[in-house]
Amino acid sequence: MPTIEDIVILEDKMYILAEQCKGCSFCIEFCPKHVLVVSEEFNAKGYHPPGIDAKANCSNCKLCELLCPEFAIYSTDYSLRKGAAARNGLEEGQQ
Amino acid sequence: MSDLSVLTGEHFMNGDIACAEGGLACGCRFFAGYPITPATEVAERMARRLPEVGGVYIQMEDEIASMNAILGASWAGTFSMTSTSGPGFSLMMENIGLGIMTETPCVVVNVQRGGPSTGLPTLTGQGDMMQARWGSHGDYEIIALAPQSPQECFDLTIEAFLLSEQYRVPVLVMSDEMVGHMMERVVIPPADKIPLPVRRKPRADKDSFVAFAPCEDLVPEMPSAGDGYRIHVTGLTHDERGYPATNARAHDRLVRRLVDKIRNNAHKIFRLEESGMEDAEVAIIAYGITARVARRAMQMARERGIRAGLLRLITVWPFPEERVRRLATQVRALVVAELNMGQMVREVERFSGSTPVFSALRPGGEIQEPGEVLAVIERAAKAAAKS
Amino acid sequence: MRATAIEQYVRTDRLPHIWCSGCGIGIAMRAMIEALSQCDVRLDDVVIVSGIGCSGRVAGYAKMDSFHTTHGRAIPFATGLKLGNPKLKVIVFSGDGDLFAIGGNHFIHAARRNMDMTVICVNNFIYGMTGGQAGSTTPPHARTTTTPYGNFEPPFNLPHLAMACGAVYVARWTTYHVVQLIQAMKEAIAKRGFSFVEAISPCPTVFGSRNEIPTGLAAMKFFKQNSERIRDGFDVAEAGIELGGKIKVGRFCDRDRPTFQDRLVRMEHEVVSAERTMEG
Repeated sequence: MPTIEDIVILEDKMYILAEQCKGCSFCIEFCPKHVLVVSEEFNAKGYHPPGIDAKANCSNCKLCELLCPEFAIYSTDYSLRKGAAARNGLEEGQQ
Repeated sequence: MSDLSVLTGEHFMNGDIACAEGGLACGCRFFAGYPITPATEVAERMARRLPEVGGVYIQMEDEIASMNAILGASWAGTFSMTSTSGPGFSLMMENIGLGIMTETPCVVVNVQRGGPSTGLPTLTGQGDMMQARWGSHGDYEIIALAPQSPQECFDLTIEAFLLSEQYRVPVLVMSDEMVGHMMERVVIPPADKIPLPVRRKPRADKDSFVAFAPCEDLVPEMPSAGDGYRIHVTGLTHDERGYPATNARAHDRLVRRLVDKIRNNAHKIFRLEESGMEDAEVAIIAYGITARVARRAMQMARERGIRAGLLRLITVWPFPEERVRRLATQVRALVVAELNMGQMVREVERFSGSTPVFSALRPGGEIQEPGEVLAVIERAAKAAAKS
Repeated sequence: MRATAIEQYVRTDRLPHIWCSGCGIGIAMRAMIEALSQCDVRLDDVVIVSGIGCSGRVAGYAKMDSFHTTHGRAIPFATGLKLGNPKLKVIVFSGDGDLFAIGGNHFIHAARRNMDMTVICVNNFIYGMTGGQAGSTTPPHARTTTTPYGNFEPPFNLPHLAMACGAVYVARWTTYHVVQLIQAMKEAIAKRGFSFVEAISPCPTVFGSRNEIPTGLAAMKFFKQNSERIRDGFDVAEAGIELGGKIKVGRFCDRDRPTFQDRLVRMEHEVVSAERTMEG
């Protein structure tokens, strides 16, 4: 069962259950904004979980979440991202 | 329960119809089956009667589907049954195993006919008795009852439902073509005299209930699908949560419990009928239709001065090992009469010690003449006298 | 759906699941969960019934009442569940071998009867769990462990079969098209009657590796490039799949027929009113 310790946070944009990743690369390949890359890290099974391209702009489309066969990747709400407090005009419930 | 489910009164009906009425009387509301001689009448009766009592009859595409459908209906919280004969019984075997492994209560009526294979569709036999015990792969114990009359078809189908819920196991009613097709007086009691099966529902709440954790009698409580317990049920070897646990330790635990569940409770499951045993020197062991022939043979033997007694197995499985072992020490010879090439006689031999065992066998088609069984009793008595 | 929301639908205590890297079954399962979350259905009423095979393992990971039955027999078991308690929302989730080879007879009859259930078939063209044998959906010329010289049998065209047998809703998408797959499953689950969704999935380990699609990623890219959405009036007989060929995807039919239960209830009313007539 995944615990807090298993969660890897990529920038403020994604969180990954790294030990559950099986390195299929679907999230990396099909992200429309090319946010994800193959990382240099490995998990206990020897798979490389995704890393993040710091310059890329995650639009929170959640395609990675839906395409991950392992239920191992989640994008964060805009409201939790850096600078959210500074953003004005952010509507209630907008993600 | 509506009045129509219990047809209180005296009837002249055949065994197949009586099986159906027995099911209806104690609350069976789902029947999934397939036509097969000589069991078809059970299905036909259910097709007519279930809509009258708010139940569901469905004719499935084959016996395999029928067996699976009754398991599903049982998990939906409905008492369910099916009926078949030899060829269909063979088809049902894998999924009788699924019922055993998942501890699913249900009743399967096998109106036996001559086998093997297509055999004698319209004529009697008792050739599926060992198959009832061992027909599915792997280790398990089963409960099987043998009615000898249409009245018993009614009574034992109810008994089968009670036992299946009590022990969470499919229960087999091993009828045969002769009992199934003969018409006799069947008395159906008033509804308040009919025992109703009781499913043991979980006492724990949804968060703490452990799906396959057994009670003291080794039987787990059983929620229904839709009750909110969110259980996982699998034919794979599983742990007490119901999760697949395909390792030797979990397998040992589970299989032993499934076997002990019946074995340890066998003394509460046995139904036997004994006649003339007080002074018997030769004991006949028989079941189902053959017990009626054996009873006549016993009377004829007594008329000829042979002290013969009859042990009728109403519960054929689990086999009453201790009773037979003790019986073997109390008499000088045992005679087994059955309509097959020697199936239950093997069980008797296992427990007969040094007491000789004789058999009156026919592979089906016709029942024995009482004279045939008498001849074996006489041979047994003669051999006993010499020893 | 947030990670904690997955908890409601998935037995996370059993993760990571057994499916291989690059397998699409997890995607199909996720799509089913998303579809359920968007349907007006109580999770306590949902039952998942599966058979044997890799796809059949979904029942073990789903946090609904779930039944992992014998090979090919999920549909009749599901029939019993539905008829035993009509309030249950019954979903059969299994693989192409389980549903269409050994289970074929049960599929055609449940479709014929228009039994109210949703059947989700993950079609990876192979018997995966047992190591990669050919099955009834394996495309011609495919190499498998039991067709070492190339498969020479014609496969089923599943949407065609389903429609011919009477299914009221038939759709096919690949696991690449997860958004469309979710929508199709949502429609199928909401639909009264026998609904069928085929989810084409990679199986890199035992199918792809022998047929020049060495990774799940290669298969997903292939699905992306080679899927063609059908238009209205498409002849479902043309929906067969060849190795390396185009995959027709979309909704093949959405029609209405009385369900088994509709007919059963109508008959029961007739029985009861006939009785009343006799009594009166």
